[in-house]
Amino acid sequence: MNGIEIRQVFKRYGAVQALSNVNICFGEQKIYGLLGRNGAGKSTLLNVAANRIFADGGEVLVDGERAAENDRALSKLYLMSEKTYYPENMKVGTAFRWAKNFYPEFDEEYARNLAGSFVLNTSSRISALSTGYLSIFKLVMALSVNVPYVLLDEPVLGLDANHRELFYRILLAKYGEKPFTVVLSTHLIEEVASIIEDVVILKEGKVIRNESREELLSKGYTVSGGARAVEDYLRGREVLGVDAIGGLRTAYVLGKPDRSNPELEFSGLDLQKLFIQLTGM
Amino acid sequence: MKVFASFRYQLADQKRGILTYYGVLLGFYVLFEILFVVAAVGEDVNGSTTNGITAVTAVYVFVASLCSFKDNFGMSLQNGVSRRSTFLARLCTAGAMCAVMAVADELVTILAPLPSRLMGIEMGSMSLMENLYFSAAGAWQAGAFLLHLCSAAFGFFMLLAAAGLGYLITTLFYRLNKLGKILVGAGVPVLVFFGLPALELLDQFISNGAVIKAVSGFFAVVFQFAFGQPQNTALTCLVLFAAMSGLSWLLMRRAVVK
Repeated sequence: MNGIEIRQVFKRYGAVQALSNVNICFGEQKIYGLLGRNGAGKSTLLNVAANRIFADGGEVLVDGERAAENDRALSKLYLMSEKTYYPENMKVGTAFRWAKNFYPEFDEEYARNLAGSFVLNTSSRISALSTGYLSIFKLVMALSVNVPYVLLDEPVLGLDANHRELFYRILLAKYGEKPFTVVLSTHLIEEVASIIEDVVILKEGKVIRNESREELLSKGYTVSGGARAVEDYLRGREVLGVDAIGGLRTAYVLGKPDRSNPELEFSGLDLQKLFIQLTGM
Repeated sequence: MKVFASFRYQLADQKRGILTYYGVLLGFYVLFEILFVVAAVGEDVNGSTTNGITAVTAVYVFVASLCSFKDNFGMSLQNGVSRRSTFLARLCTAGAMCAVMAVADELVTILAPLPSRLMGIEMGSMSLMENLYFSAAGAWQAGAFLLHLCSAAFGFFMLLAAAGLGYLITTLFYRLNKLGKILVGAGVPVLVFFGLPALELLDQFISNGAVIKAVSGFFAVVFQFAFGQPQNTALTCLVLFAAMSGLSWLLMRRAVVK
């Protein structure tokens, strides 16, 4: 089958079980959100998928082929990781030229245009880039390689709000033009909530949710109103959390809403609130 | 397979270093010859020699190989190249680099004395092979062209062994953890400078030096066989390269990004 299949992958670092029998399939032409708290195993999972580290067990298939040590399968995916693996002395423009050598579909002109949009100096050495610009450089690479599967691990690390906004716009434009699979691993859930189609949530190395964002969010709702009305309403219901501002309350609840009380307002669930509840805070 | 893409990258990575090395080498030759000519004016100087440039090149190749793993490995994995392809590309790169440098060394050996000779000063120049095995006048009898060809081939295998050793050390250090690096980095010199003399003393005490003498005798025979003739040395270097590359692969095949 097409897509990236992760089958029963487990990985241990000493006493820490980083991944525990993980089964996920990242299908074609979808934008996934890979969410999890620090140490949940997101980066480990992406590194295993990209053949950068070895799993202790299980396998990763790309379009039905084993990915480990397989150039053909690996050519179909690109991992933008937090760490930089380009030689420090290499210049940004040189990295673009070499990318074409490894990924024939790499669009150098597009990369240079993107660099221009982000005001990334292509004659700078990679080692001289700030954290934000290092992320921008890697994002430009990831968006220009034109492979079917792009894995982005903390893509907006160090980016200011303007650059983050620009990145999301460019990502959606590119996806709209020619859809491809994007796996977005990030802690900025609110920012990506409107972009992602499917959500995979990892907790302590295990997949605890793997479904469409709509499906996940339809499992709950937000109710707000006066403190007493909300507190009465919440009795006997499964509550994710409550925010209080003065005499007003906003509660996040699982299940179906009961709209019989006209004093209360109902709206959809917030992905970040749901994430916080699911991952144990 | 992305072997060719990786080969192109690794070769390009070596290119600047090699050009710099020969630039410095030629600069040194020019400077040396100018100084020599100036010094020779009015003096009764008949000539000079410059020998075995490949020995210096071997040191360069060793150091360049020491520096050629970490960045290339990271770059390869970043660009979807498997360890196997990266390693095969490395073998091709080492082969190409050593071949080019062996030929370049031979050209330097041939061309280096020409400026001095044009000014009437005799300057001799020998390849490493000639210097080690045929330095006596008339020892080589098979013609100049064959001499240069054999010298380049000999240099190639020498350089290959140096490249293999450098790569093995760098992959070993990449795989070792901090403690392992300290143990190997400090342990080997300690063993060589203190362990062996201590062993010699102990042997002197126990068997009046008989064991060390026997072991030395054994190694003398092995070395005589392995390095007694240029063709033996070339073959030994090739075997060493193959063995060291095999070990490098065993270390590299399970290496992960750091």
